Amino acid sequence: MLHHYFIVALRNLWKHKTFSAINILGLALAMTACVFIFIHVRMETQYDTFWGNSPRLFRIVHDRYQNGVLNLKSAKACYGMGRILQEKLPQVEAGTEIFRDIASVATDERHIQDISMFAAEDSLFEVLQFPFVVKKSDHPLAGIHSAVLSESATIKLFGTAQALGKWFRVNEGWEFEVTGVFKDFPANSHLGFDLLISRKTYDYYAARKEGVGGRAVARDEERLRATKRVTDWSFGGQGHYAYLLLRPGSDPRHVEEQINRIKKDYLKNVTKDGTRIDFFLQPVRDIHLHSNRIGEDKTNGDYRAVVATAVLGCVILCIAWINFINLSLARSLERAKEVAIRKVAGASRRELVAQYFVEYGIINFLSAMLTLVLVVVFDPAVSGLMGRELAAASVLRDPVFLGGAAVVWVLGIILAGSYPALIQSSYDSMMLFKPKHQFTAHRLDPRKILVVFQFAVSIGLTVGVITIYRQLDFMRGQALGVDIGRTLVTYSSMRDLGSPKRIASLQTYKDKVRALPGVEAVTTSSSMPGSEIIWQQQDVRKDGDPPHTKNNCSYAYVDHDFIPAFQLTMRAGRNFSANTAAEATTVIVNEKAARKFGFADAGQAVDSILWVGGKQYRIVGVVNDYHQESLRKEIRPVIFFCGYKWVYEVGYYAIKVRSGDIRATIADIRRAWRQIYPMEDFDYRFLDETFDQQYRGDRQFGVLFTLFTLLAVFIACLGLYGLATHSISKRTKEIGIRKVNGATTRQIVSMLAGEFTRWVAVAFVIACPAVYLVMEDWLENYAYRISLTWPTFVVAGLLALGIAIVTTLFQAWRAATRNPVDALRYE
Amino acid sequence: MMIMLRAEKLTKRFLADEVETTALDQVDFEVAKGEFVAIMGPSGCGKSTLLNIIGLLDSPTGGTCFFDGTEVAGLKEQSRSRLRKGNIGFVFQSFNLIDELTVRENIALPLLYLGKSPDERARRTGEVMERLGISHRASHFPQQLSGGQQQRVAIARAIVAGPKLILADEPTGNLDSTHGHEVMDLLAGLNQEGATIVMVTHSPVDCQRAHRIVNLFDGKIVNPA
Repeated sequence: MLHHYFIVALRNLWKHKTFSAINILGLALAMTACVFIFIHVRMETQYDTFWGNSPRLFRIVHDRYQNGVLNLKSAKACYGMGRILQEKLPQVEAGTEIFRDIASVATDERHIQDISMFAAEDSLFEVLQFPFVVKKSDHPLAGIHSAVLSESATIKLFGTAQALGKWFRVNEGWEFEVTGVFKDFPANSHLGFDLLISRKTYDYYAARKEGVGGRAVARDEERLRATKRVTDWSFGGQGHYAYLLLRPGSDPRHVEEQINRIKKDYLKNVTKDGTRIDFFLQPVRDIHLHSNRIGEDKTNGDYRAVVATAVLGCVILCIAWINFINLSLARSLERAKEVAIRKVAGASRRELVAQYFVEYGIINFLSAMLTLVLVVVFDPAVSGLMGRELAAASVLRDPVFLGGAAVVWVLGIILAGSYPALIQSSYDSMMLFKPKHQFTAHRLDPRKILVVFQFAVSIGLTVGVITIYRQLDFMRGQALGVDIGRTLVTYSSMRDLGSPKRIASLQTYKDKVRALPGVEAVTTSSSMPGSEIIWQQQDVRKDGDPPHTKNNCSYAYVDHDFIPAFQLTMRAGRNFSANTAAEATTVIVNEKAARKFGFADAGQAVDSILWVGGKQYRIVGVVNDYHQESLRKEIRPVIFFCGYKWVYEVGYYAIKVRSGDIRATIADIRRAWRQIYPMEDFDYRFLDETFDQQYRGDRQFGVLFTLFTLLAVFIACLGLYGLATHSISKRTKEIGIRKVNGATTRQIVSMLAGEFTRWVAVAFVIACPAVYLVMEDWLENYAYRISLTWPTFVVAGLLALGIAIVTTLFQAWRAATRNPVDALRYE
Repeated sequence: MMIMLRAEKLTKRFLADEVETTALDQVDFEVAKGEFVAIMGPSGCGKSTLLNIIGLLDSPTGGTCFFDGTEVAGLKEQSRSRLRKGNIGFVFQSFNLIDELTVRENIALPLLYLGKSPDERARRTGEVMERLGISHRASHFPQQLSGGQQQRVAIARAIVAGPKLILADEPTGNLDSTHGHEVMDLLAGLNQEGATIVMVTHSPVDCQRAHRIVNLFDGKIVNPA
């Protein structure tokens, strides 16, 4: 019996090639989209599962409070934590910290610019466990000058992965020996590096003055071995990624409490002057989708975007299944005769349903085969569009994926096949005794409802795409009010906290950097544009307001270079002077703050008195409003104080470099840093990149959304094309009769195309309110947003209408221009 | 005389758009085993309706109907289908072959649904094709055959399972006279070999091959059964 079903199904598919092709192609495209979406969602949700013992792996992060107010949520922690926690807490099996630096590496023959490098101790391999291709010993980073490289970097640098014992240079001067080569990390890691160098060697080189390089460390090995162990967590700042491997069964919340209990012994230097640091443990596997702290090594994902993408995949699959149902139903009348004959010959309904399911199974199987081809063919293009390596071919060998695909495949056959199979098998044998024209479709033709649904979804998605791009365009096009181009930012040094020595070093560093030929401006402040807001808030009031008046403002300490360096505009009054002491009781406010205090204009605010925390300050200037963060967040009222109070807190140096040889300028700045702060790591980033990264997730989501919307619309069109072909061919006789009775081609075309435009109109009416609500909700995420206007909906509706007309027009025109005699004879 | 079919006060009414049409009105009808009965009458008189009911494709609104001694009037579709399987063969005016199946497969269809083994299917199909002279067309598809050949295939399909009753609905209606004669010769031959045949026809020539002619008019039999 099964053999018979197969033969009949294959012949049927071959006989109705257009229908089969539309069905198979539609399903295959949808399944291809779903495979890519699956890979994307799986990548997003499977971050950091490749580490050995990943369920027991945690990252230490910290929140920093100033006078009880949260002012920093950092992804990093302190140098020395790992070893100390391992010694003090029995639940900690191993702990380590790593410090990022960007470097270039070279041999005499080859070099790699901007390799991602971390300075690490050998304990790293106890915590972050990953496979090696080859290593010199079980402790590849224990020795002086030791370095381990990724396989790809090794091949790039040495032409082979077998490079153990070979030497190379870092930053043209530091020398390292390859003591291990590890397999490249999968892309779904919150952390990325190609080179790990011995921490001891790094510290040694970082502390040395210019000109000391080569294999100098080896000569000082004995001295290095005697280096005092780090016992103060404030040493080197809070700029390290710190990881703990907990023992099986340990409660991370309990460990977290213990860390916060013992921290006071190690943070004495930091917790002066009202600073409090709270540590937290993050499961490493949760970092990518659930952590968005300052200093993340990579831009993390957004859980909601992942859910939205998964929903989009389901919608596309539904559209394809609906096509399948529609096309099957469209042909059901043709096949009614076959059903009747089979019933007369003794077939039961169950047998007929089984026959149809075999046929649907074959269609789905062929679609799945085509999907495999499409996935492999489109992998590079989709990877490029999404800005990530999807490696689809490797996923196709993944048993979890194959299992899931099989379930979806069977589900598709059952969901999309049940209805047409039941409808088609329900035709009774009486049909054989009726003339052909007496056959009537099933009472309520569900095809129209399904096509309307498809078009409603297509219109909705189109409105979504237009809205997302309008919003992204709006955000990119908005003037930030601040110039963040070519601006390099570093954290302030944590040395000599609270000491006048700190201000002296700062001044020296500033002067040194300012004197560099590639540097345009240098400024210091307690906060930098483009980063998550770190301002503190206080109750502020204008002189003359009742004492209980409270205004919640952000405030920052800046130097007199801040406003010109960022090219902010004074709306009224003046900038701070270089004489910090003279500016002790003056402030500058932004326009928003001036308005908040009730000043009619900027000029009126100047020379007015503000009360901040019981002290009086005179407003000397009003600066323009600028976007501290992405346009998701609203501009806050800000008060700028002049001075270096910030040195007790988290602070930043911003250096505007001239265009030209930026790399050389950075090397110069690094050198200046090492001269002033020999024991501190030079950790920098570019402000515009940081700022732009805030939109990266939106952009990626936009690309994905557009891609799959186009696909959804295309699949819907395939379905419509199939339906139009069928529907028009069914009306061949009617068209012939109309033409014989005087109808023109134009009238017939408009009659036929008109039917489909009515469907689109109904879809439009259904889609509009639903998509309005969804997109309004999405736009609520943005403080600065576009409003949903009717042209967006009209454009989406017209697009859908245009597509529907183009899809059906050719069919309609062909039917309308046919010789009516042929049509009637045919019938 | 053994009775193959007996209908008493057989009534069939159709309700369409609140208009009730009586297709069969208290029809009494009987067919003996081995008999060849022709049903005649103008279009719309209820011939096909009667054929459908006695062929267990449809159920009557009223009256009783016995097939080989079994009351079938009140049976549900599933039971009718079971009873029909292998017991009744149909021949239609428009042949009603499945375009996607070859001649051999079309003929084998009833055997397939009877659950016969592939070997038995092949043997019995081969015998029938041989008998009807269509063996050389076994691998052809219906579209590749003439009307007469198609009707031979349809007859082959109707008899392959060895049914007790063959129902033919205007079997020569779509054929020229030569092919029409061939088909009637075939049916007459089958009847002589013992098959019971009920045939609906408009043709005064074809009906001469039957033992008995039943005339229907406006849902009633106008000559005694």
